[in-house]
Amino acid sequence: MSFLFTAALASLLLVVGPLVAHLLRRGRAPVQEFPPARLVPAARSVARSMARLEDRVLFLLRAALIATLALLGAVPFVRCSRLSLERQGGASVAFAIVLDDSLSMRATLPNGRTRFERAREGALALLASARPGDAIAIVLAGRPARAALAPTMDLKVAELALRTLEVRDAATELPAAVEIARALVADLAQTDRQLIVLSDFAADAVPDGKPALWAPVPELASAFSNCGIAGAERLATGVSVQVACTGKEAAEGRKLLALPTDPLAGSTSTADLSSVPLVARGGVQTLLLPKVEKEVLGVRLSGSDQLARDDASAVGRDSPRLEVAVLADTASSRVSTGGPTVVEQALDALGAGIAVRPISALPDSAESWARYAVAVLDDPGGLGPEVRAALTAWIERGGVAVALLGPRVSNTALGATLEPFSQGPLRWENSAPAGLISASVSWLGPEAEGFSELSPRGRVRLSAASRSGDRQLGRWSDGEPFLVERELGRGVLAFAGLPSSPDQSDFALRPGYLGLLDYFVRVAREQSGQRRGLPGDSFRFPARSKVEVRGPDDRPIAREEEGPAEHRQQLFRADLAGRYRVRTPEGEEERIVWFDAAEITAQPKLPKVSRPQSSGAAARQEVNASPELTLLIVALLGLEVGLRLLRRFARRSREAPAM
Amino acid sequence: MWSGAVNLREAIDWGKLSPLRLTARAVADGLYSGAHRSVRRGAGIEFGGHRRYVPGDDLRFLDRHARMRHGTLLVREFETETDRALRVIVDASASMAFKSPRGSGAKYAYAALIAAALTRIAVLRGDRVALDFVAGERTLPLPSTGGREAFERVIGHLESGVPDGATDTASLDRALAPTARYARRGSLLVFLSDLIDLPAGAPEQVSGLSGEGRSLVVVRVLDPLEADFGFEGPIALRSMEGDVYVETEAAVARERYLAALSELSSEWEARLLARGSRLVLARTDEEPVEVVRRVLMSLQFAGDPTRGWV
Repeated sequence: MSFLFTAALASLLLVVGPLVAHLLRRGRAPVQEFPPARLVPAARSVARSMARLEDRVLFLLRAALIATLALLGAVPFVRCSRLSLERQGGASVAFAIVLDDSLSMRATLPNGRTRFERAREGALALLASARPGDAIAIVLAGRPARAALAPTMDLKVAELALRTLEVRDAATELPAAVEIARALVADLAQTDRQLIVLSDFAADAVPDGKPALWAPVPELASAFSNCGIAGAERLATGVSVQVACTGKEAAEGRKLLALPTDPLAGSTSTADLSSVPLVARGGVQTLLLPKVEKEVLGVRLSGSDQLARDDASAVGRDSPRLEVAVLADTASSRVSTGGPTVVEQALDALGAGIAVRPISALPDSAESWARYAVAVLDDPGGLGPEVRAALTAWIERGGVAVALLGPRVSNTALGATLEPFSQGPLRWENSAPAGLISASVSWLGPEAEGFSELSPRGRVRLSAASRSGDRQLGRWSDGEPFLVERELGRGVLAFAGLPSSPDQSDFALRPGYLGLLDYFVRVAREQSGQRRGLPGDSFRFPARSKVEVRGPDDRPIAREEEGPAEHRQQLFRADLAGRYRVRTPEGEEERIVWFDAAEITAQPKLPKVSRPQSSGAAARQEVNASPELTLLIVALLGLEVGLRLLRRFARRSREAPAM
Repeated sequence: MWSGAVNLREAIDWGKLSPLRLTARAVADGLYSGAHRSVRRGAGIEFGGHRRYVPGDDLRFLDRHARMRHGTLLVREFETETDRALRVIVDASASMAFKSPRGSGAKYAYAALIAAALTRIAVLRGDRVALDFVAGERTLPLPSTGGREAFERVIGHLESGVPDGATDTASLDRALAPTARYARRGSLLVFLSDLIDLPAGAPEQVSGLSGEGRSLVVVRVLDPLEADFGFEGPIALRSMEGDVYVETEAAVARERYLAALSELSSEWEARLLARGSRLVLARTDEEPVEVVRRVLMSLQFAGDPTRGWV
């Protein structure tokens, strides 16, 4: 600290000058002779307080002027903090900004602004310090992590992209975003590469790598208190709601309220139908709101916390589980230990989220089929005309039908066929080659290895049923198709040449059997059966189908496409939590997107490497404040002059009418 | 805003009104120096109309021609121009020394100018003039006097007086007593004052001068600062008579002050009107010609309660 610096700052003491003048002026009462003084009402205390108030404006103005002048005198010793890039020897810089747009970035900071606004402000400040020749890339860390702006040297485009970005409800995928950012700047021509992460780090640890990351806004990673609703589904007994809280203090004294409207659809209804208090503890808790007469469409938490967005949620109208219809002969496909059929047990083993519905006969109306997402037909004996029509219509609307063909294909009743699986008759053969070709079922993963040792007592020869365009997902060792998959409308149908019955083969005893069923369940979830999801999920449909998706705010969701030409799909990404409406030529359906419980409770974990490396590939935080101070002085002088003119004008205008 | 604290008791601030002699002549010459007709009818030069004969009337004025035309006895009447003595009473208490930068002179100076201008007009018409003072220092009353020198004598008395002292009931009685005693029927009485700090019974005392055929006009002279309370911000005020000291905020006090001032005027006006007298309001930043004109008009209407003050 030099003498000049000390002297300049010491001049701050001159601020007491206006204060002394103010006090002296206030103490000097302007006594005047005025003959009709007895007619003037006294207001001594008012007069003194008014004097203080009136003079205070000028006093503050003058004190600020002196303080600013003192600071200006101390410049360039005094610098104010602002984000800016530092460059090695003045060379151009390639930098990637990872901007977290996940749900947790909606949390408010002590100054009332959200984390995302602060992060974007930091990004814009960094961008403002970029020069022509610098390259910038922007990566978003909200699920799914993705590049919002490929590396570009057009700084105006980058600024526009930053200003148009909005925070979403998705979870954080920070590690993936960092990897994407590193990959984007890795091949750029600039040797000075920087990675700037503007996130609350409420995510998994970020992998090490080059360039090292720098978190220039550490206040984003401050701990916060939050409770949010991670799901709400209607049951027969009421509404089951999952609430996630960061800790005891966040849940204390709060209640869960049932609403007659959807709060995420812009409804402002505050009348609650019923309520239940939260348990004062952290983590996820499941609460049951008792059933009421009126339909509950939304739920909301009372009170407030740092993240208000997840305090409300839509309520799912239907069961959240994927319903799988199973048609199996309890006599032939039962296991010797008793209990449900082999297929049912296998589907149960796939875990939660699947509701197995055994049926004795296939429905013959589209309405009856509508509740199912998957239909597994174990050794069907043929389908009647009404059943065939209803089944075909259901598949075309997005259903997934799997037929495990067995001996009964040879004994179909009169008028019954295996359409839509096979156009012509099929036959059960009492002999079969041993095992499948391993490579043909390798897509199932390690579970499929056992299929190479399959030893059936017979099989259905599928070559007669297979058509061009079908996908053969498995073949016998003699080359005959074992499993055939076919797209029909928005749905999928598949048929295999073996039934589940242990009497016919060890097919159902192989691990690959479970893998096969799991595959079709997943197809169903992706294809049409998924009615629940998380922010960041995409609704997928075949590219050729005409689909319109509208979000919680009733705005249409932008359509994207991906995949090879023969299996092109259209995607609609759900960025926000709430109720989505999917409109297809077959009708309209509803899908619910809930907040991710992990994102609601995730606490920030600032990485240790949060400062620039000493190598120079970094950024500095100080800039000269002289121009700002000079502008401030001019503004203060203008204010003083304006104030005086205003007072003079007011006095004249008051005197004028009395003349 | 005027914030001076000059002791105005030390001297009269004549301001733009000096010299009084010339200014008063200019004011008087700018006005009609016309005659004031007497309300008395009887012997005279100019015919004033007929009335029925009543026993006791002078038989010389019986109109024979009218008797022949109308068949009744009618008496001819004539209007006569009389000398209507002017008596001016000037308030020379300490408060009359007040002058703000916006006023053309001290209130006493302005009152003296009005008095001198009225004197000039009266003298030109051949009327007699008398001058009395309320309070003041070196103030000498002037008995009723006429002729050309009357104007010069009035000027001399006005210029020699210095506003000072407070007005109490005794000093007011002393000032009004000669007028009450000597003013004849038809006299014109003008009382010039700021009406501030006068004793409690002043309106009754002053208005009591009217009657018996006298016409009374009270001219309230105020400084512009007194009239509109043009102060600003916190102020501390001290009266010039008595020992009143007030601290207040101008913006807060303005409305109530103006209301009190208006109430004072209303009280005087009501009292004067009840006795057929008039109140004229004047400010020291006003053209004196206009004020004198209003005083003359008020003098004409004084005595008629159906006419308002001018």
